[in-house]
This record gives sequence, structure tokens and C-alpha cells, in this order.
Amino acid sequence: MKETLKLGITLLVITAVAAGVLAFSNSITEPIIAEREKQERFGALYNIFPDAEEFLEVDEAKLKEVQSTYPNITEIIEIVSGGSTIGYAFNGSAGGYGGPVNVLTGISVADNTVAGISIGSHSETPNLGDRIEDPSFTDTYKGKTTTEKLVAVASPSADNEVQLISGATISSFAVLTAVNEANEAYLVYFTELDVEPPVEETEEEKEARFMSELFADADEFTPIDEGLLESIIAENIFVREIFEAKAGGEVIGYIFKTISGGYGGELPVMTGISLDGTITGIRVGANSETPGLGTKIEEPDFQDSFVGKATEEELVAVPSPAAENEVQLISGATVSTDGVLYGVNGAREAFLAIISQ
Amino acid sequence: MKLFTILVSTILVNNYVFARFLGICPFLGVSTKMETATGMGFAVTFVITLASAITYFIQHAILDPLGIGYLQTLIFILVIASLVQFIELFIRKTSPGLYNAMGVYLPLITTNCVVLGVTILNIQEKYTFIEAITSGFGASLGFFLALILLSGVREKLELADVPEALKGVPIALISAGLMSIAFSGFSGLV
Amino acid sequence: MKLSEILKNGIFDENPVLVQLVGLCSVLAVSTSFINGLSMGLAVIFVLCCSNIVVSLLRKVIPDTIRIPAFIVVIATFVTILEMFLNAYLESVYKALGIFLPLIVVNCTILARAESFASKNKLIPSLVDGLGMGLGFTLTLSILGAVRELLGKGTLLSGTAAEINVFGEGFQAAGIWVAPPGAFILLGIFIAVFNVIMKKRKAKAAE
Repeated sequence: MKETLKLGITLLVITAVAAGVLAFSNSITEPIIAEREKQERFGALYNIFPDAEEFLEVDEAKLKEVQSTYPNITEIIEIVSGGSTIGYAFNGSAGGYGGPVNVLTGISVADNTVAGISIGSHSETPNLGDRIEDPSFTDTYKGKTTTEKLVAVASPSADNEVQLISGATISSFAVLTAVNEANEAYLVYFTELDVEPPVEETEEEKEARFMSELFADADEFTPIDEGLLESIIAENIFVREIFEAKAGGEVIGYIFKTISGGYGGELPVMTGISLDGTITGIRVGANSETPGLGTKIEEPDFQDSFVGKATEEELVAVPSPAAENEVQLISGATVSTDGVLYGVNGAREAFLAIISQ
Repeated sequence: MKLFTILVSTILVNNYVFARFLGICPFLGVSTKMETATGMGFAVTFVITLASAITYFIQHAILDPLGIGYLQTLIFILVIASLVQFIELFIRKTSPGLYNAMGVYLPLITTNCVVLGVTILNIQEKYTFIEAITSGFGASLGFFLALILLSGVREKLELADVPEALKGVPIALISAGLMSIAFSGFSGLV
Repeated sequence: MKLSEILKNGIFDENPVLVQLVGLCSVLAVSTSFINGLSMGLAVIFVLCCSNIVVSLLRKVIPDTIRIPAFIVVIATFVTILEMFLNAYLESVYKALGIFLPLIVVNCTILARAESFASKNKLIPSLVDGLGMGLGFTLTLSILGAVRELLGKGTLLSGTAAEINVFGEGFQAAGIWVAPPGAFILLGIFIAVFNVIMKKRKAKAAE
């Protein structure tokens, strides 16, 4: 026992000496590193706000408030020129390919647009992911809106479109996420605009919300009879669950939950069909479709094209839907579109099977 | 959902061996037979998952509050080394069978860059406790997967007609390179 | 062993990368260019020499049973010092090495040399051993880096002011060589070539 104690103490002494040496080195190097990081940051701020005269740290309480909703934002700086606030800069980060990507987002108060962004430290792949540092990438964020969520595309032109670097999509999306977060934080906490901070929804809450959106008049959703469900599933490979939508005790329609295959994996789709055989709408659940491309199936433009369509014939996707059985085809995301269609057509057939009972 | 993303990312998209280059030494040393690969895989999974949990606490309960973040490398590697020692003793005492299966690989794990790499990256990515453990678990699964795949290939290579100069490690590396190309197809998945 | 033999040993006969096959993680990850390879190599030389010196000086003091943890503490300390000073004074190198800087701690070479040489030899031989191994590591890493850079980007000395576009500005290199797959494949080829060369040398020496 004594021997072990002696060994333990020897090791402790060695470690203590090591720690001491490190503390000493730290005291030398830390101020230099801190100074340099500050330089980098202010240099970047001047690039984004050339007319700036003063940079003020937003007060702690406010920062903590913002961080309670947006924990990835580490710093907020108020940009002052000629005695008034001309903008805000948010230092945030998002997960990239090799680690967190730090992004400084500058927002102009005058018109609520992005004044510019600056990429901070990151570990993205040299010559590939680190192209996010190129002006050709970061410049595409200048002047873009903050009131709409920004999207990354190959050829950005609209007010809410920024650059997507092909071959470095993960790195590009890391920057996009960080900037969108900064924009949102700005709108929620620094403007009087009516923007609700995002609420973290559980999957169940999301599904419940979808169901109420598909049947606004319904006050109750009950699963259909088990035997009936089983007989339908036996014939229909996509259907998983079926609910009756009821208003005041009367069935006004059905909700079908299907799972089909998309480009990146399973596609859960919810289809609402009213008793008269028209589709009230669809909702796509959690999926792994390609961001910016396949994920367009989550957008209103696509989903709204299903509203009011009939169920007697099979639904098909076309570039310009007009007929009662035509819905929107997303060009460049045909697999994702087809995935959704399998699910919705499955729901359609299940509906026809139910009403023929 | 984020946990699932972390899992897919660590196992496939950013596989620690094929994309991040961690764990190469044991990867080459232990992948000559499926048996040894399996033993090592289990041992690594065990150590990394535990290490992720422990280092998380140390970082957030000790290093950060005291502002001694610069001691991270030193403390983490000591924790890992002690953890491995402790696990080895524990397994040797409680389950000789298990020890025979994977015990001998344990000391090698101390210098396995995956362990230290994962624990440091968990902190860098600012994961929560559950996310850190998931990431550690996923990383080890990815490592395990890479090990099994390569050992399967190497067992077959033993019987193939490989040029003298390339026999052994060189051809194993080239095979790993081809596998790495395959795995890079996963990028963009999450 | 004579000092010159110790030095050559580290570069050829017991080359850490090509013969002992240790520290491969860093080799594969950081050999993306000549400068990166060189930087990592120099970092390893620093840690290896310092660690060998300290371990050799303390070899009579450190109790045998706790020698491995003690070595680890010494190595980790030097790595951390290196991290701090690089971050403060040579930021571009710090960023280029990334996570592989702290991972030098688990570079088996350093622990192996502490265990098998420095703990059993005097100061000067230990220092030279560290230098030899470090040089072997650095040379291998730099050459591999140069080849990958040439094939994968068409440049040499990228990352410095002296960057040369060897094949001209418009050259479209095969990016795969600077990506993970290229690392694996080229290292495999390197080892094979090195083995052939060493075999020939041995055959010649035996004659």
C-alpha cells in the first residue's frame, strides 16, 4: 500500500510540474492569441461595415437572452456610425465537414439586409470546403434579405439565394445555417418586426400540427378499426396508419400516413383526403433528401399542388400541373418527387378501398 | 433527429478511418484476421463510449469553469490511459473469457488516435452529453465497420497473387484507399 | 552504437513511417502538401527531441511501474507547449495541422522511442535518436506531401509565397490525390517502393 502511495505521489508530482510549465507557457501565449483573434474580428468587421466608427459589445443580459434561444451565437456587436446604430454583427457557428465553422454575420439596420459575412476559424477540407473563405462565395451573401430564410443554390440571383459550392455542400450549408440563425436572432431580438422565435417541436407535436392543418375543421382524429387497417396494409405496401378526421362526431375525411422511399432514405408522407374524394393536402415528415434540392418537397409550392386534386385516377407529376390528377414535378429532384407520389398514391388507393366498404 | 444525423455522420459520411484518418495504426495492425478485428472493435467501442462520457464531464465540470482549457490534451490522454488500465484490470478479474477475446488489444487503444481524436472533437463540436456519447459510439462503430471490411479483404488477399513488393501493408493500404473512395460516396447524405 | 549510426537508423532501417508503420494517422492526414508535411515533421522532431531529452535525464528518477504514464505526461506537456506557441506565433501552421497537433501525443513513435531508447540511454544518444527518427518521419512526410501536391493540385510549395504551378496555371489536377483515398494509395506505393530499395541495399551490403 505504501508502495502504491509512493508511486501515486511521484506521478502526481510529475503531473504537477507539467501543469506548472503549461500554466507558465499559457500566460505567455494566451494574451497574444487573444489579441490576434480580436484583430481578426475587428478587421473583419471593418470589411463588412466600412463606415463604422465604433464597435460596442451588446450588454450581457441581452446576449444571454439571445443565447437562450440561439446557443451557437457567442457574441453580438453593435456597429455605430455618426452617433447612431447602423448595424449589428453576430458571431456564431454551425457544424461543418471537419468541425465547427465560425461565421461573423453583419446586418444593416437601415433595410434589414445582410451587410456581409466573414468566415472565421474552421477545419474544412483544404481546397474544397475552405472555398467558403473565397470572396466569390461570401460576396453572394451581401445585400440579401434577413426577413426570409436564405437558401443555397448553384446560381444565386433572388434576394434570398446564396452560393452553394458543389463538392462542398456540407461546408456551404454550415455557413448558411449560421447566417440564417444570426438573421433570425436579429429579427426576433433586435427589431420590432413580428417574428416568433422558433419553438422546438417534438415529432409528435409536429404530426399533430400537420393533421390539424390538413383538416382545419376537425376536432378529433381517431385511428380506424384495426381489422380494416390490417386488410388495407396487406394490399398496400406504403400505408402505415389511417385516421378518421371528425368534426362534431361526424367523419369528414381521412388522414393516411405512408412511408415510401426517397433519394436519401425513407419518406414519411401524410395525406389528407376529404369524404368527397379530394385531397385536402399533404405533409412530408422528417427525411434525408438532398438539402436545397430534394427537400423542396417540404415547400408550399410543391405541397400546395396536391390540394384539391381528385383521387379516382393515379396522380402524376408534371412540370406544369393543370388536370385533376396532375401535381408539381420538381426538376432536378425527380426521385424525391416520385417518393412522395408513391406515398400519396398509396393513400389514394387506401381511401378508395375504405369507401368501397 | 440530430442524434441520428450524428450516427450516420460518424459511421458513414465522416467515417473516422476512411475520411478522418484516425485509428490507422490499429486499423492496419489488427485487420489481418476477422477474429482479431472483432476483438479490437469491441474493445474500442467500449473505451471510446466511456471516454466520451468521462471527458465531457471533465471538460465542463473542471476545465472550463477553472479556465484551464489548455490542460485539455494532457488531462484527456491521462484519463484515457487510466481508463484503459482500469478496464483491463476490471475485465481480467471479472471475465477471463472476455479478457481472452479482447483484453490484449486494450493497451493498444491508449495510443489509438481515434479515442483522443473523438474526445477532442466532441468538445470542439460543442456536443451535449448525449450527443457526445452518440458521437463516440458512432465513431467506434465506424471504426469497427472499417476494420471488419478491411480484414475481410485482407483475408482474401492472403490467397491472391500479389506482387512481392506490395505484399502485406502496401496492398492493404491501396485496398483501404479504394474503400475510402467508396465511402466518400456517402458525403452529402446528412 | 555510434551517433551517426543512430541518426541513419531513424531515417532508413527503422524509419517510423515506412518500416515501423507508426504515426500513420498524421501521415495520411497532413501530407496534403509539401509545406504541411514539413510543418508536421518539424513539430514531431521538436516533441520527440524534447521528450527524449527529458525522459533520458529523468530515467533514473522515474519508477519503473509508472513509467508509461510519466512518459505520457512529458509528451503531452511538450505537445501542449507546441500548440500554444504555434497558435500564438505561427497561426497558419497551427490551422494547417488542426486536430493532428494534439494527436502527436498518441503518435506511437514518440512513446516507443521514450520507452525503448531514451529511458535506457544517456542524454546525447537519446537526443540524436529523437533527431534521427524525427528526420525519417519528416523526410517521408514531406516527400509524400510533395507528391500528393504535385499530382493533386499541380503545385509545389503551395501555401507559401514561393508557390509554383508546375504544370501551368490552367492545369486540372486529379483532386483525389489530395483527398483521403489518394493518401492511402500513395502511402501504400511509397512503402512498397521503399521496401524494394531497402532490400536492394541489404543485398548489396551482404555481397
